[in-house]
Amino acid sequence: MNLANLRSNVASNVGDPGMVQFTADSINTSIQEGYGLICAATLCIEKSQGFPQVGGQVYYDFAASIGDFLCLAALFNYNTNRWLIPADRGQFRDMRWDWELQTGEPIWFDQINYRYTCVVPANKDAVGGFLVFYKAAADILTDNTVPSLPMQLVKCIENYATMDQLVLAQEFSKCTRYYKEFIADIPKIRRLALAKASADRVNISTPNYSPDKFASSGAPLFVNNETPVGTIDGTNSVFTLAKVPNPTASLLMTLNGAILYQGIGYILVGALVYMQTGYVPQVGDALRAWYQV
Amino acid sequence: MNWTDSQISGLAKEGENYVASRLDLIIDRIAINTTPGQSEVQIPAYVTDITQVTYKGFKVDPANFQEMVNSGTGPSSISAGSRPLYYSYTGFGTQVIKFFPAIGESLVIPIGSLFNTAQISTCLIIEFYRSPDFNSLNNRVPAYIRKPLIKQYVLYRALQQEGPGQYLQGSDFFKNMFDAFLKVLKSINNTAFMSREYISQGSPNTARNRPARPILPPNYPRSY
Repeated sequence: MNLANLRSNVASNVGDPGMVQFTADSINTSIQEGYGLICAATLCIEKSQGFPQVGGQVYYDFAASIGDFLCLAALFNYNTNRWLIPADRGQFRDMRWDWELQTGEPIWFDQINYRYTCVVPANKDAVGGFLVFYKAAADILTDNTVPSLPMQLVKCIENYATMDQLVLAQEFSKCTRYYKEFIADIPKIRRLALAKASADRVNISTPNYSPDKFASSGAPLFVNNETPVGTIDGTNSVFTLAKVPNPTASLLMTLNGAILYQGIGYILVGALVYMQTGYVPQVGDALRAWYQV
Repeated sequence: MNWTDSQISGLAKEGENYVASRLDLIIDRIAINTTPGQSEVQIPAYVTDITQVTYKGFKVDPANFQEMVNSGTGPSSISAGSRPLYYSYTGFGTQVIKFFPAIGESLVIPIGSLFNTAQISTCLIIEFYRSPDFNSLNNRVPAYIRKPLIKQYVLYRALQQEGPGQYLQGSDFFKNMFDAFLKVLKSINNTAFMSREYISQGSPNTARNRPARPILPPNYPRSY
């Protein structure tokens, strides 16, 4: 259903199919307003865009630069080829009290309000960029465009626009019905958007969920306490695992019993583990790995 | 005409102020000029709540008046050349922040963004929730909800006023609409900006992700 269809339905609802008392422009405005409100309340439109990193910038104002930005879904750091980890700003404060001065490749992020997102550490130099995945505001409808909402719930826009038009005519008791339907539909659209996003999703937090995690015996396959292949001489920083960890987040590496975090102590690419500066094993050190395949 | 343009725009501003004060929406920062020995800072009236204070990039911890009294630290406590460790927003007057110990050096308001390490590392910054700035494009209630929300507020208040245009039934109707839309905005504000959750996936598990804090063995760091 496009804007022209919606407008025609609204005009019929208010008993003015010829759009004499309720003009087409006025109805279009109501439809656009309702569409914007629904998109904001349900976060059902998703987009992505590249964004340059700014030297020393701790807080990025994505809303000022990306016209239809509503809120952040995820951030990818092109410089490290890694997703930034969502966190809470309070955790940064707990970590160190001058956390805003920390510089390096961004690892964590937290969106603190509808404008600002802090990334930690801040990139010291203006090098590379982010890929910003965000929830977008409603696009501007034209007569032939179809709203980016689940088809069966475009009715929600119609309800809002009808309600808005009836308010102009001071028909309060009539518009109450549309108003109630509109408010009741918002959680439904949100649930539908979530279901759509999760329809074919493998829940990596529960390893047994996905059938491909099972070996032919029917049991999930885990690799425990493996010693990665590679020379431990204080200079070699590349080690090879026997299999490719799947999911990658399942890999747990330890150096002399201390847990190393992905992205900090090492970077995983396929079955290769690249130890980072300061974490390269010295002679006599013990490097071990646990993971799923 | 029952209502003039200025009355209606006054009600719209009143509505936006009301929304911003109810929902902690707009975050802003100011830098303050300081002098050695200064312990009090007057903050602007548009500040509704303080979210963070940093002194040359170091976090200054909040403390309430009673904690100050219990700590035995006098209000005039000064540690020359040092940075303040605590601040109190209560007990020293409206819109006044008191620092303990007092500020020990002269800092000036830097040129440039207060959201960049270059500026953060040189000055005293107060970050806060604020009421809307009607002369700015950015420090406002978000555009996607402003019009439908404020429209209900203006109609509710306008129809409530004494005079020839008074219509209490209509006013009640718009009050209900305003409350419902405010609830929608509250729901957006409480969920959309929490990056701890991947909203598109509906997963609560990432909420407990903490930044890495590895437990290091006794032989680390190494000494050769």
